[in-house]
Amino acid sequence: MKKLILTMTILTLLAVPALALDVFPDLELTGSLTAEQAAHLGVETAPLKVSDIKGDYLLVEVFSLYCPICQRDAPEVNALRRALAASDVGSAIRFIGIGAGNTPFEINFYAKKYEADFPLFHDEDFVAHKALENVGTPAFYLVDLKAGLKLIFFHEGEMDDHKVMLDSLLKAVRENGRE
Amino acid sequence: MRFVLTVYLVLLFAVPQAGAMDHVYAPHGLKPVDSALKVAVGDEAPDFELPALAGGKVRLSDFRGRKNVVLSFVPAAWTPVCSDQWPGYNAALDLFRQYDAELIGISVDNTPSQFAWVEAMGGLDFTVLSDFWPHGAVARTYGILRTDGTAERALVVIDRQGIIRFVHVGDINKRPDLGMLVEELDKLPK
Repeated sequence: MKKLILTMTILTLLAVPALALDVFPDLELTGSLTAEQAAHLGVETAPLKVSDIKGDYLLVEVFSLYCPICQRDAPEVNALRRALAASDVGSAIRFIGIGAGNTPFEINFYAKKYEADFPLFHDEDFVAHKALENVGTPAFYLVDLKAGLKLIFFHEGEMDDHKVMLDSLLKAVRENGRE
Repeated sequence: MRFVLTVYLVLLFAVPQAGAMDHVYAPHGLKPVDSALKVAVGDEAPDFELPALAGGKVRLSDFRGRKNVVLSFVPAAWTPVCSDQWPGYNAALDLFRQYDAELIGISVDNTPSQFAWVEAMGGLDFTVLSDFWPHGAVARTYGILRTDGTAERALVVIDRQGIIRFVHVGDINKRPDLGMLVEELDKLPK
């Protein structure tokens, strides 16, 4: 019986969801930025590295035009972005999207159709997606830009309600100790 | 005791996934192209009639003189690339309409399988046809039936006169760029 309890405990611990990565990879981001988007990220132009982005935190959405959940989630993502910007840590958070397997045409189409006016980068050869261990889409990463791209929050799958996600993100920032 | 452990293991690993499409079958090491094309740009598109997911049958020649047609052949239901190619096209239906083009998706699966698959993808707003029986007959006519009985990942653009204006048989393992297709639609007579 003791052996059984030990086995079940170990399996339970192994099954606890964990961040896929401790540190967000310093990906090269390729795409075209408007002047406003470049200013938001504190960069001149793309391509750029994640570590080039100026700010305290970076929220990354990995999405795809071809992902029905991402299509369904797009209005919630926009609402989240607006709510984050209006929050007390809004000025410290940058927001980008990486289109896994999406070409520049597909990224532009997605941006227009879903009114996603935040910086979107294409990843047609899945290079970034592979570096992110082929994460399911949509996926959200909150990165501490001033702590070596430390990952402080991760969510894979449908967001459902942007308010719940907002609370989780703000909690992650608070618990990280820098607001 | 063994029973308790077994039940525990089943419950432990039955973690809900983000969506039903996480359960697709992932094929490995497929030959990029495994057929010999039998149609070419400038040919009259071979006519066919196939059962539609929405019910009834659809005949290609019914669109002649009325609309351009894009045939999107995909290899099989419940496979990863196919399961995102069509939802992407579904999101882009406005683009097809802009070029007065009817999008028709075709796979060699039977209609009940297509039904379950399309439901799992959240529904599709374009015509889906089953080339199941005689198995892959339309794909064979177009020269895009693979030796394992699936279809190639192929796109065929047909103008209002029923003439093929573009054929793309891509690597089965990769999704074709939507931009390439739109570029071809843009070349159709207005």
